[in-house]
Amino acid sequence: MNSTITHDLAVPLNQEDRAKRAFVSSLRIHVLQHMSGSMKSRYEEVVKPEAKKRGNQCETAEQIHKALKTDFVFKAYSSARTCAQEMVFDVVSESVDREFETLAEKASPAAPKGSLTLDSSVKIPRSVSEIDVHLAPGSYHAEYSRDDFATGAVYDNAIEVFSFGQFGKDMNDIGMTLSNYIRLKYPDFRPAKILDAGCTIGHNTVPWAQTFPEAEVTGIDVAAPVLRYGHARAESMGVPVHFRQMDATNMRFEDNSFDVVFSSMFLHELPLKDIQAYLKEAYRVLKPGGLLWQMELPPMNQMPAYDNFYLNWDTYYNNEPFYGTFRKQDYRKLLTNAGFGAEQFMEATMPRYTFVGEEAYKEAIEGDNTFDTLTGRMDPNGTRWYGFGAWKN
Amino acid sequence: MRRIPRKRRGERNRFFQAEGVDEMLSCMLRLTAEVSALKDRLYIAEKVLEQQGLTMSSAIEAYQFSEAEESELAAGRQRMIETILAQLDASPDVEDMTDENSKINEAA
Repeated sequence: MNSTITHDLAVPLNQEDRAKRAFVSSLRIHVLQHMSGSMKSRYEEVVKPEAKKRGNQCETAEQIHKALKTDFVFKAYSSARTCAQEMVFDVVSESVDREFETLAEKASPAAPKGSLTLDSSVKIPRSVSEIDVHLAPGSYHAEYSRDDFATGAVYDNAIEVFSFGQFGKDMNDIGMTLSNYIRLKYPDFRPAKILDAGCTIGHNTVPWAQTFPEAEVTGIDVAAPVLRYGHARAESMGVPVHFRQMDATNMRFEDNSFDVVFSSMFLHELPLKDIQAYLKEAYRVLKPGGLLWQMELPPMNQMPAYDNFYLNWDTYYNNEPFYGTFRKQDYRKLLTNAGFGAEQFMEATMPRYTFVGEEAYKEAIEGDNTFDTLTGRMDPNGTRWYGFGAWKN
Repeated sequence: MRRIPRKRRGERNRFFQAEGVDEMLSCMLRLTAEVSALKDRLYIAEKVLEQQGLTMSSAIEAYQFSEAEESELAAGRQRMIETILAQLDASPDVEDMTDENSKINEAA
């Protein structure tokens, strides 16, 4: 498997690393395509009719989960998917550990175009520190030595193996998809200051600095190791990004500071009270006329019950306990409660920009929003990203 | 050197009621990853040798084992089976056999 990581912090891989990473990606494809297909057939043909006889109408994700939970096919799918997830971190950690010193030489860029500002007073929220999110041993904030960046390297490499190439070159597709959506949809909008909340390694922050090269782009996260890595990573790509250690629910920025505030796959990892606090902060730091946008999992009210059950698997089994609660929310209401006008609410599904190319993308985003089984889902057949947002009056 | 932990905190997911089934699947998939990596390496070895003019694939298929080589491979297979199935060999019979083997080894 050829790596899609092209920047200088790419871990030097030997043949064994390549072979094992390829195996784990193939295993995930098998589980998500073949085994999940079998599970759906089994559900439709056997589990659902049987459950209905017992009085379970299978009308909600929870009811479907309850009906399937005791079935062999669900157990096999879930057990194999858990293994595949654990193996992602196994194979990646092996090479990051081995190559740590090599990476360390590149982790402190000499003449940075961007910056890194750490703040040791930032308290790591329990939603990060108490849970090994995504089954990643140690989660993403842990530091195993002074100025450690290992969890950043693990995250970068893990999402490549996890996504079997579906996140695009340098895992940048969500960032490219959204930044180009804004560029093409609002050609007169020229953001000068852009903020990425919960940016981790900046894989979706960098694309904004590339799409809007005149803008000053900032990424914030609570975890120092991912910011150190993200800073070195962006510098190695020659892209200026300002990384700051900061809690998105309690930002240190002045009111009316940014033209765009966005996040990518961030909200679903937060408890509801933190989502609400972040959105209020986002409203505060946005300039009037500024744009908020969240790339996220699609809301449950837009998807069929079975797809909701399928997407919500991670809530129960992938250490993402807030995922289901987030998807149950009325996203419009989340934004209006934070101060945005109800009439300002927008949502969209988008094909992957770096996969379909500029012309096809432009055409797709002019059409109606399409919600289908690939929306928000990591699937070998492709995916459609979902996002929602609002302008600040 | 291992710096990054390999085992996550908290209870591991368990889906099958019978004890050990989830763990067994985990062992099996990790083993399959090792086998897959070895297979890839052998493939590369064949390609490298082919680049140097040695047509490995057909030579491998045409290869005839000597009796000594057959025995060597059989012993290797046996060792591998014993290693892989070691956790299943917890019956008293097997323990007895192990004791017998120890005695034989001590005598030797």
